[in-house]
Amino acid sequence: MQKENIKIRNNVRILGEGQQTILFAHGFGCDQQVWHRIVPALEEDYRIILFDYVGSGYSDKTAYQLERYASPAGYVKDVLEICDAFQLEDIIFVGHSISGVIGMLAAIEKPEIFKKLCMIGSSPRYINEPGYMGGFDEADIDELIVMMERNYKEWAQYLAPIASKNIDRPALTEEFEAYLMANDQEIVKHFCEMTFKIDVRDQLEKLKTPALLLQAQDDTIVPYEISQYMHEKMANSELILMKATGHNPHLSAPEEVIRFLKAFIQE
Amino acid sequence: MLEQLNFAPCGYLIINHDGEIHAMNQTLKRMVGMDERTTPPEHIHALLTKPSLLYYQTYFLPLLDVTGSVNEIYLTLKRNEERIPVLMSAVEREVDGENRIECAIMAMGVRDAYEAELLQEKRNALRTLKETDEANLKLQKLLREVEDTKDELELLNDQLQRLVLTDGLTGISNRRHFDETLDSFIEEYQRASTIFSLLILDIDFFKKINDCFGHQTGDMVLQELSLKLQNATMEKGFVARIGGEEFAVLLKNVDEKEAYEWGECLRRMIEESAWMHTPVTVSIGVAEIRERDTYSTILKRADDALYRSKQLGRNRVSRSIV
Repeated sequence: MQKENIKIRNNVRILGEGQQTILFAHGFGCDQQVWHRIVPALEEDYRIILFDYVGSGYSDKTAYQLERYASPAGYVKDVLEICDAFQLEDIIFVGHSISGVIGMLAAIEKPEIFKKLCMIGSSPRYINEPGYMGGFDEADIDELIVMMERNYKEWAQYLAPIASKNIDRPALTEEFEAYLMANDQEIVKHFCEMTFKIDVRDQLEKLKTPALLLQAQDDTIVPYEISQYMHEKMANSELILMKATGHNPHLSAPEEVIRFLKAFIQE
Repeated sequence: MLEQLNFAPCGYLIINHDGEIHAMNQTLKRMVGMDERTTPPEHIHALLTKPSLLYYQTYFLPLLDVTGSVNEIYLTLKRNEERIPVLMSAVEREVDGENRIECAIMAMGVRDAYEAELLQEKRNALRTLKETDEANLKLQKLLREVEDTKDELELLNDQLQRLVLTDGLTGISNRRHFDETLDSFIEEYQRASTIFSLLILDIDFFKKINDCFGHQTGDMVLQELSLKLQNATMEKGFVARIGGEEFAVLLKNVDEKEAYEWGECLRRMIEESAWMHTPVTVSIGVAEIRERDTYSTILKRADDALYRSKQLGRNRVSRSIV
């Protein structure tokens, strides 16, 4: 029952064959479909688990609680509850952006579940402060939130047609769907605030799980210096500067991501 | 670039998937404050403000990736230190064997002001709504508190009422309660012809008890008698202590004849029952309500009857003879 609940709540999908499980966690502002270029190359050899955080994609948005998801801890709980419900152990966790951090926090809390951790374009802190260049000022983040607000209707289309393919979801009445859409905007805004105001620098040294940091070039969200900073603080990490550019190498250069990911898993 | 496109009244930009700029028309150059002859920057990142960069990377590109086109996205471009609000639409298609992203960019200075106002209004409305909700909650809380206080007060009031109407020594109804009850019985008689009778009881030689055994024993006799009267009448009669050693019983739907029997019954019970301290007897006067009776007249008749019982030697019951 618990498993069924979590499956629906987080829109969990299981694909592929294999002994080794890989859990993919999407970043801020998107959902599990961002992995669609990575998954096909891995599903022959691995068991793949995809999910949406509560509040994202086709998760059960009625499960969204403002308090729980006001900090990364709520999202960490999502991950650990999925692991618990599906009795996952010794997994490879692949997280994009904020999800790299969420995976790291989960691995610090329950190291026995996590065999390896791959963080793509993750940052422990986005906002500048004396002695630390996160890349952004708070005013930038506030303006980003306004920008999201202004572009919400255009962006919301992204949720609809493609996502519905191949995804099991409970039948929603039109009215209920409209209600969800109305709620989405606030949730997206909160997710944005949580993400860009995060500060987990003091957690980096606590991670014992082997970690791979994949850093693309010209990633304006997470500059290379930040990956270096993380690499220095983490006990057991490997930092790779990819040929790919931008913040979404798993979309723009899937082959390269797959290559590094496979090598890391087989190491 | 085609002359017409180069000077079209909107910015036109071609980039590749990595954001490298392939071409950029004059209108766009002017928009971002560049000289027409300078070569365009290498990367679209150079054109975008920081928040736009964030938005571009987290939303714009994934959206374009999934749908192949993006429409009417609000972004801001950099012109020196200024920010230029624009709407950007983009389409990805194959040109010369390579994927290219073509973008149309429309400056929206005026629309931006409108939108900013709308957003501000929306925020204000949301805030007002939130404040109203909070005020409402506060009011509801206050209302609950008031209701709680009211309930408490009512409870206290009930207790107070009981205290006000109770005789402190014996715990049965006091004179005030008797007066109120008699008034209400008279009122009911006048309104609904519900008859009733009044018995007044007085302990015989009570002064002697006080003198011989002390006031404390006197008080205990009063308490014991109260208990006996209460037990004897139960719910059928209303018993009160209306004076020092004087008691009254009101019997609804009982005429004088029956009331006399009640009186006789009580008298005998008191005479024959066991007493903890000292046995006593009572003299009783009986009166039934009559037409035109008032509080005073019925009381007077019962009193007169009591006086006659005393006159005739005490420990007896008399009816009013007037």
